[in-house]
Amino acid sequence: MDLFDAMQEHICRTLAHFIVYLASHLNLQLSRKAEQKLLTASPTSWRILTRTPNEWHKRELKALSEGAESKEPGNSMDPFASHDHGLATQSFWNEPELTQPSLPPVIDYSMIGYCEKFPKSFCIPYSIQQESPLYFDGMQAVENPDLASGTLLDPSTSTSTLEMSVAPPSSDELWSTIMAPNPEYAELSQETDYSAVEFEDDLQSCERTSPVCPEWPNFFADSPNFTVPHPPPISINSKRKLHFKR
Amino acid sequence: MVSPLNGGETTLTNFNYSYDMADLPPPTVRADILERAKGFTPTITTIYYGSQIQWDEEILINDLADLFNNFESWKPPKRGPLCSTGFFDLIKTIAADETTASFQRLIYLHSMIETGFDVLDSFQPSEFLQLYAMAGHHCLGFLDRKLTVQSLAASSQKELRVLFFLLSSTLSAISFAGPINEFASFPSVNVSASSILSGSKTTNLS
Repeated sequence: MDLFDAMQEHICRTLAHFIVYLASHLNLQLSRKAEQKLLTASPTSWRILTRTPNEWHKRELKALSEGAESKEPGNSMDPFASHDHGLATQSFWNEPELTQPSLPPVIDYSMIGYCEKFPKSFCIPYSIQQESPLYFDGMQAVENPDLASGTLLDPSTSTSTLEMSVAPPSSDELWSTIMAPNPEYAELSQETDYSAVEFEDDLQSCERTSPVCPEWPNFFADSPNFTVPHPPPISINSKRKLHFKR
Repeated sequence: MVSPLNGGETTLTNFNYSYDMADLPPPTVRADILERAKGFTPTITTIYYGSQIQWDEEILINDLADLFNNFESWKPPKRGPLCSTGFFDLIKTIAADETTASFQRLIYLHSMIETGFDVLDSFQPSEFLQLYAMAGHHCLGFLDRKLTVQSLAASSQKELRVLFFLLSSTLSAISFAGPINEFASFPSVNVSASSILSGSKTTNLS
């Protein structure tokens, strides 16, 4: 153990000593085992104890890498903006719970995850398309108002970025927009050659027995209230393979 | 050093290191680094956590005590709330603005190191670590002054609870410390990195 490690351990144990001391003054009822662990924990133990799981890092860093492009320069270094996006804690330390009314203005991928069994083109709610100048080219949001008319980007030259400043819909809104036919796209749906759409591999195996469109999986065939939603304009995107950029 | 449990006087650091031996940046550079650090401090404080968290230190500290009692089921706290304005409003009850900002930087940078976050527009990795060292140095100095028998005896229950939070978060940050010269490149998740301990090395306030 070199000098640095010795000092680090000394300070960790001194601080832990005070934690136990203050806990006793504050009547926090730390167990004997907890006190023992606090007082004897090495810096390495603390690192392990307080370290966030790797899975969490991967997920959050991925969100960071996607979100950093579209955020303002001042926020691009801010890990917390996306660390806790959409997930506010009811309790200070515990795992967060989803509280819809207070979602910050970012796209919450966990919410989009609800739609994983839908065709990929459903994964971006209609409401986002309607309320913003964004046009979704494939699963990539393109910040280009000129494309709102439906002009398609050349995928080889597209510099798409995910716009993170669009307020996500609530869960109810998400579902309603997914399930409700959108008259704006009704005409498109009639003109679209769905056979040209290629889906991801995981969708290839889906059961495609929808009476409206054979390309759509019919997950709600047993539901009496089920109405097959009209496909989004993404379906006119010729033969380009749909790709969800995550 | 006498244990506080025995009612004796103690100090956090009894090391006899001078400022010059530390890995802290030279005094002439510190002001510049701190000035640039102000650029991202407001970003932290404006993060929205709003009304989801009940900023009652009694409730929060009981949550933390439960975690200490259940190490096996420890779920690391997200540090976002620790960098939010609600938490620093709590800290301000016992600390000056400058100290509050140091704690804010310490927790924030600690989290960035832990996550391997390497996007700091206006900072070189070495400067980043130096900033971390300065924050840690300041925080340990503050704790050193607060954790004396006289100061503790004069503190209210609320102040003691806030101190408990500060101790916990600082302890976590220190555990990720490492000498600056070990990090040729920016630290990843697997490489512990900080220079807070270098700050502690110089905290000779006894």
